[in-house]
Formats: sequence, structure tokens, C-alpha cells
Amino acid sequence: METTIQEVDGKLVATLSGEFDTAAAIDAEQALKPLLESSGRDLAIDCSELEYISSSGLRIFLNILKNARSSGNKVTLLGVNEVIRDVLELTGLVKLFELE
Amino acid sequence: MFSSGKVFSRIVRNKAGFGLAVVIFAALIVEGISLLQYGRLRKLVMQAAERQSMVELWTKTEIINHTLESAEATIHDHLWDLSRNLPYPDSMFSAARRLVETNPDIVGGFITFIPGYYPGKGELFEPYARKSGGTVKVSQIASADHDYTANPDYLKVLAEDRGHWTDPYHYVDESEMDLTTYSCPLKDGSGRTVGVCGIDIDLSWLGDTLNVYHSLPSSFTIVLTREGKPFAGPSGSRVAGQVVRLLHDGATVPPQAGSARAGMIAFRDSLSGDKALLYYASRKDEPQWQVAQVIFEKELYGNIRKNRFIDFLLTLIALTALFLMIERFARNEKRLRDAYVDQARIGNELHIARRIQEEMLPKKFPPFPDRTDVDIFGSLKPAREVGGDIFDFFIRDGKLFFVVGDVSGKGIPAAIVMAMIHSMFSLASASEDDPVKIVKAVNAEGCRNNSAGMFVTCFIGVLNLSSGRLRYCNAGHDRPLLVGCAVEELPANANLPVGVLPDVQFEGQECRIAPGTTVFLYTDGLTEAKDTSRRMFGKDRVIGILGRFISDPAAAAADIVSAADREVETFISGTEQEDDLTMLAIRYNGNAAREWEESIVLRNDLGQVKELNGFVKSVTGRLGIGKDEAARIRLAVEEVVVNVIEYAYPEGHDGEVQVDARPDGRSLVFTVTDSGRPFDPTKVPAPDTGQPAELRTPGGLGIFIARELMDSIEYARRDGKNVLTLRKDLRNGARHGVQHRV
Repeated sequence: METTIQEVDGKLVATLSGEFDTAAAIDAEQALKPLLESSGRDLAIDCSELEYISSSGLRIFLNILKNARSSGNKVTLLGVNEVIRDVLELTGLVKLFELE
Repeated sequence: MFSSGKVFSRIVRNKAGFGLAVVIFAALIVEGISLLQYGRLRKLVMQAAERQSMVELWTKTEIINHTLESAEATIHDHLWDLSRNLPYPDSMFSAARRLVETNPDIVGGFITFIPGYYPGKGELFEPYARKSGGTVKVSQIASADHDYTANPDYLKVLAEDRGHWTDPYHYVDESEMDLTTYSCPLKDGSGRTVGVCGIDIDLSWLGDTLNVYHSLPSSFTIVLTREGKPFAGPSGSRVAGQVVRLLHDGATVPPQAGSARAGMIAFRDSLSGDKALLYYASRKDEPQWQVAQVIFEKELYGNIRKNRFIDFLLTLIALTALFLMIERFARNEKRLRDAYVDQARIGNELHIARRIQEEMLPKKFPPFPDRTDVDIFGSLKPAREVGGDIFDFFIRDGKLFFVVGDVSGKGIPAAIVMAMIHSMFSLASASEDDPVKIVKAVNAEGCRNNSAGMFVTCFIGVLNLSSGRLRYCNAGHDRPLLVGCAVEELPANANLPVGVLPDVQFEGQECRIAPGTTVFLYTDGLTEAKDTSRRMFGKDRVIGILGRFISDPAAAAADIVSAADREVETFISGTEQEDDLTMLAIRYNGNAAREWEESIVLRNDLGQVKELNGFVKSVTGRLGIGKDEAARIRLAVEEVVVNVIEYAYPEGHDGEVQVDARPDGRSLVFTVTDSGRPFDPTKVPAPDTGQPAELRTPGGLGIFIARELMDSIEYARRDGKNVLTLRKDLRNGARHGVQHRV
């Protein structure tokens, strides 16, 4: 999985592409550190290029969300595909994130 | 069960006792009423008898009165003629004759004159006329020997100057008779008494006449003088003697002169002790004779006593009949109640029997989820609570042993035989591969102690799952149908059913079953199922249903059986299922279905997930599974395998996890095997997906996702290994998506 992070309109946006499987999650934890440590900004994760996410990936998403919420910010997931939406719905996480 | 039967029979016995008590009570009431009626009737009969006796007494007294009065009248009629003819002494003879001739009761007539009245006739003169043998003789009978002036009656008439009746007396002359004499004064024209005129009345007839008829045959009537001396009637008998004593010896006083009296005296016959009633009445005028009549109570009440006895007997018979009816009713009710209790008990036992029977039948379908070479589905619907149908199967040494049978009859007896056949099949086929020998063993057991004469048609087959060779023995059962490229009957020659003869020969047959063929076995409950018009379902319909599954690689055994089941249900709707209905479908896929199986062995390193995903991708790609569905399968397998990699082995220990993938009919099956510590991920509780973010923990999500995305995940611990079988139904895959669940 490839990860790029940029700032758009004051938001920190992470763009993920490929497969967020368990193996990828080990690297992603490091790559997504800016989001995990960000404070005072809304966050967005662009999933439009992401094919797949495992429970390890969801765990990282959940940690990013908890961190953002502690400073009163939102996390928006952009362009999730059907399979990822299924998993978000199955796990109830769909209610915690903003989906666009 | 608490002995409700006993309790009830006691109630029933009490009921019978109650019935008896009712009958006895009724008998007492009836008897009481009868007694009251008897008493009243007795009183009525008594009153009637009293009246009757009085009437009879009066009548009899009247007869006497009439006789006496007519005699008195006769003499008084002649007195004027006599006094007119006094001057002619000889005319007195003809006067005496006239006295006798004018009244048939008068047998003698006399005229006595005071001494010396006719100087020419001597001192004493008595012309006397006497009836004898139809003629009347007249003579002068006074003499020194017959000096009437000494006769007390003569003296009495003269002294009292009025008529006088003598007491009856027995007279012996030429003949014997009972007589009474009436005398009255004879006066001349100046009123001077010149003599006594009298007549003799024969009373011999009186007793007989008065006793000619009595309303009660043993009654009798006697006539007595005022003083109680009997002179007419059966005075000689013992009872008459008692009557005479009663009327004579101070029990009654003689009647007052010039007044009548009447009465009744109850007494007992001194010898027999019978109660008797004495009715008596006296004349008012002289002679104050008494008429007595005796009746016996025995005779008086005899009839009503007899009637009462008959009534009582009739009542007793009626009540006995009533009692028998009540008792019979109670017995019937007891029988009904017993039958009901029995039925309830049998119903309860049937329920248990049914559960036992259900336990005996295969009930887990698919029975061999790991196998691709054979797919089996069976169903048994008993017509009653328990049935006599049987089916069973198991795999031993790569061979499928199966049996379908139908015990003659239904209900508990059939179920018992069915259980016996079942256990014999299990026992025999545990060590024997030849279906003929299995049938023989079942038959030998079935013939032993088979006093009920029940027999079993059955089909026993042994299918070699690798070669498709089917060996079978048909003991009088319906031939199975084969569903392959067409529907055809398995050529199975019928032997005798099991349980008929112990030494009968059974012949076996064999054939080869092509992969993709379904063997469909059934009992006649299917073909002979009847609709409301009593038409049978028939084999053609069965063949028609099976025809729908010709050359269908996806046709599962369960589909065939449930299709047939639906059709039969529709067919018989509204009627009661008459016979047990059993179907068993065995689809043989052969080894062709197991065309490939892919495996990968991974180390317990999360880095291996890349290899795993590549492996799963190639499997789903091989089966042409769509991108999204493939992603879901990949995700599920990954979560399960990651769980094993992370937790199966202790930290720092190397371990392996093997993943096998194979298609199985309509499904894709993954088997994940590891040698780590026993762990059943299917037991991990599902996370609470409704919690807010702050409370959510990431744990448990992986297994949860895998369970949700696959159709089934089964865990088994085999040979010291954890074996997880993940199954994804490919037919329903698209419809099974989670977007429809939320």
C-alpha cells in the first residue's frame, strides 16, 4: 500500500492506494503518524484508490479517529468502495466516521 | 406415573357401590310406599268387608224375618175365621188343615182349647194338621199323655195374652226336622180367650240357605237363639263352637227385648291361630234370634297380600335390572376411562419413542461437509407418532453403506421392528462389505422371535466412493431411481422381504454409478400418497420431479428431496398422511469434483500475509469469482490466518499454518490447519459494534469480520491440530452481501 499525506484547505489529507492488509498495516502505522499525532485540525483519508482493508487497517483508522476526537476534530473518509463500506458497516465504524 | 388408574378404579368401584346404595334406597322407598298402601288397602278392604258382612247379615236376617212374619201373618189371617167358626167344633179340623196348606213353610198347625171348652169333645181338645209327604193329615192329638195344658208355651201365651215363638227344637216323628212354633191366643167374639192357636215352621232349610253363598269361601253363617244356642248353620265345627261360646258365654249380653243389636268381635282360631272376625246381628222383634257370620282375615287380605308380594317381586326385578344397568354403565365408563389413561400413557410413550427414533435417524445434513465425492440428504415423515420406515447411512473404508426400509405396519410395533433392523444393519455392516451378507444377517435377526409376523422390505447398498461401484441387495423394496443423464430405475431384482423366512437365499447385484448421478431411494409412502380423491401420487410423478434434475451439475441431494417433498405436500393437502414417507437421495460426484485442491503453508509471520493473499487471489481467480466477492473472501481468510499467526504459537516460537482451498459443489472451502494451542475462534464473542469510538477496542474484530463474510466457519481439533473450515456459498454469494443485512 502506498501512502501520501498533504495539506488541503487546512485539513490533513492522507491518500491510500492499494491494499490495506495486515502486512501493510505494519508500515502504515509509521506512514500515518502525522495523522495519529495531529492536533487542532480536521483530518481526511482518501480511500478512492484503496481496494481493501483488514481489521489491522481498521484499528489504525480507529486510533486516528480517537486522537482527532480528543482535540474536537473530525475524520472524513473519502471515496470508500463497496467492500470497505461493507466492512465499516459490519463493524459499526461507519457511524463514527464522516463519509464523503 | 402416579397410579391414577388405581385411583380411578376405586372411584368406579365406589360408583358401583353407590349404584347399589341407590338401588337399595329406592327399594326401601318403594317398599315403604307399598307398605303404606298395603295398610291403607287393608283398612279399605276391612271397611268393605265390614259393609259386605253387614249387608249379608241384614239379608240373612231378612230371610228369617220374612219366614217368621209370613208365618205370623198366616195365623193372624185365620184367627177371625177361627173365632167365627168356634161354635162348630168339628170345623176346627179343617181350620187347622187350612193353616198348614196356605203357607209352604208351615208344616204343622194346631188349635188347643182351654180345658172343657167343648164339653162334647172332652176335657182336652187339640185338632192338629200335619204335612207329611205332600199330604196333610188332621187329627185330634190331645190325650192324657199329651196334655198341652202343661206346656210352658201354652201357659205363657195365655198368661201374657200375646203371640210367642218357641226356641227352635229338634222334632222326631216319622221324619226328623228342626222346628219352631208360633202360638197366639184364640179369642171368641166377645174377646174371651178360648184357646191357643199355633203353627210349626220347618227350619231345616235355614242353615243351608244362609250358607249357600259367601263372598269369602271359608266364611260361614250360623243362627242362634237369643240366649246364644245355635240351631242353624254349621254349628258342629271348632270355630262355630268358639263363636257360640263368644256369643253365649258372657262375651256378649243377650239383646234387649224390643231392640236389635249388632257388633263385631275379633278373635283367633284356637287351633290354627288364624285371625277371624265375627259379625253378628240380632232381630229386634221376637224371636230375637242372632245371625252370626265369621270371616277369616287370611282370606280377606289374601289377595292383596298376594298382589303385594307380586308387586314387590316386580319392583325387585325392575330395581335389579336398574342396578345391573348402572353397574354396566359404571363398568363401561371405567373401560373408557382406562382406555383414555392408556391412550394418554401410550401417547406419552409414543412421544418418547418418537424422540428415540429420531435419534436413530441421521439428522445432520450435509452429513459429510468435508467430502466432495458424495452428497446425501434424507427425510422421514412418520404417518403416526412413530413409524416403521427406516433409513441410515455411514461411510467406512471409503465405502458408503446405506439402507432404506419399510416395516409392514405402522405405530409402535413397526417402530420396534424398525429399531431392531436398524441396530442389525449397523452391527452387520460394521464388519461386512457385502450387502447380501448384511441382508442375511438382518433377516436372521428379523425372523427370530417374530411372532407378530412383521416383515420388512429394504434396500441395502454399498457404494465404493472412489470407483463408483455400487453393490446392492433388494429385499422386496421399491427399486431406487437413478438421476443422471436421464431418470431410470436401478435394475434391482426383488428378493423376499426380510423377516419372512429364515433360510431364504438373497441375491445381490452390482453396477457402476457415473459421477454426477443421484441414487434416489424411497418407500411406498411416496408413490402411494393419496389426495382427497384417493388418487395415488404415483411413480410417474416422482420420475417427473426427478427429471428436472437431469444433467444438472449443481443439483444437490437436498434440492431433489425437498422438491419431491413439496410436491407431495401439495398433492395430499387436506388429507391425512396415511403411510410413513421416506426419501433418501445420494448424489455421487466421484473424484471428478475434487479436480483440484490448492494448498499453501505459511510461517507464523505477519509478513506471510502477502503470500496468503496472493494464494487466495489465485483461487478466487481460478473460480472466476467477482472482484468484490473475491475481496471479501480474501479478507475473511486473512483475518482467520492472521489470528493463527499472532496467537496460535507462543511468542518467539516458529510454527506453521496450512491453508487448503478447494471447490465443493457450489461452495468454496478453505481449511486452515495449525499445530498451535487449542483455540476455537468461533467461540470468540462478537464485539459491540454500537459503542462510541472512545470505548471501541480493536480486539476481536478480525474473527468477527471473517464470520460475517463467510457462510460458515467450523472449528475442529483433529490429531492435535486446530482445523478451521471456512465455507463460502458461491451460488448465493452475490445475494449474501452485507449491504443487504444493514
